[in-house]
Amino acid sequence: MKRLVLIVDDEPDICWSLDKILRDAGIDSQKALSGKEALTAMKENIFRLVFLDVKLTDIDGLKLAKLIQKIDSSICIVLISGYFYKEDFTVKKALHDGLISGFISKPFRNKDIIQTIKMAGIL
Amino acid sequence: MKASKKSHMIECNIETKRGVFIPIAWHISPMEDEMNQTVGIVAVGRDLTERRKLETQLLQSQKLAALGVMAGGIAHEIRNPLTICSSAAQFLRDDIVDTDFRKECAEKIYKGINRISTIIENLLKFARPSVKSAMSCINIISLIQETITLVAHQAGIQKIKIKTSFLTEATEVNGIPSLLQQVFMNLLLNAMNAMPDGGILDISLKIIEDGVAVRISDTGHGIPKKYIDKIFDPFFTTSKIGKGTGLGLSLCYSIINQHKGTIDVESIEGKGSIFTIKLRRT
Repeated sequence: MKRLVLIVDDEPDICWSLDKILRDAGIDSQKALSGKEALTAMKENIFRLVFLDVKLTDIDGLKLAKLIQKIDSSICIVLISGYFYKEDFTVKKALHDGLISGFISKPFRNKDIIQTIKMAGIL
Repeated sequence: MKASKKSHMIECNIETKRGVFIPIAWHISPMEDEMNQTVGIVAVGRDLTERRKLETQLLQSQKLAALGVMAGGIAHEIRNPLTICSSAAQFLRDDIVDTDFRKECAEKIYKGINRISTIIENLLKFARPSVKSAMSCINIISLIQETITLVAHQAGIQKIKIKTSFLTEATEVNGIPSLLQQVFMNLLLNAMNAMPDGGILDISLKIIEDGVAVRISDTGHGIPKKYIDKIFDPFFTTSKIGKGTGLGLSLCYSIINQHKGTIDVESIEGKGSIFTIKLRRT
């Protein structure tokens, strides 16, 4: 398995859930519990997709998305959030600006995660 | 006024011909003659209608802002454990799972439900504090000492020295013991969380004019100035996920308010915080 997906969420059990879904689909992932860990991971590995939480303890998720894009402009960033909803102005703007490629609302359906990685061309 | 020769400020309504009441702030000053004798008064009235309107609007916008913070907080705090429960339930439904993984999923669902339940319970306590009939005469010093006993062991582990100074013996206040204990417990735990590398937790009580003042100070990391106005807002937290829901201090505020007391905070970032609770004596 290749490490293609970075999971950024400060809730360890959300990482557990996403990691399990991806593993079952034959995709290796790496978790980062903070913005700092995510940036370190980005510098050490190449990822195709990032599942990114909005409310992190050390940085705002959308700010982190900008920093991730600076490191790798071709990366696909999908926001996973319980704070925003799909039609939220902030989400729409981030999609419009190309900062994120998709948005998944918490709680998600496991198959939506699979669908997202298919759309990103990883599966 | 004749004797004191001082100016006075009063607020009272006047009624218009149409029966509408207008709030007026009156500034009344004595008028004196050459012999410094008060011979009349000068009263200047200022129409407060616009000001009252603005105050109402401000209150409304503050309520809306608080609702926004609460909605965001509820969404974030509840949807995270919901996600874990939902995902784990889907694993159990969709996959052929071994016993260990089944147990792991069940445990995560159970923990998640408990987390959500605690948040909802705290919200209810915040919105509907216990009824007045449960109030009783309590020895506040004993109550604080009991609460300290509950955290003393953990304080020792964290290398936190607890100092107490109660300048009086039995002091009784009218209150609900379980709720006041919850307030002190919250404040002590917050103080301890602010001192992960040890420090001094100082709890003192003194008699004030019509009640008692309990002061809880720590030598922890303090609260940044920009957060001071928000710390009693429901769901405002700087704690890591799962470490704090942001309801603790808002609950303390609600409980103390219910006891007709006050809770205040002073803090210097990097030096520590002081919480002062004032309660009425019986």
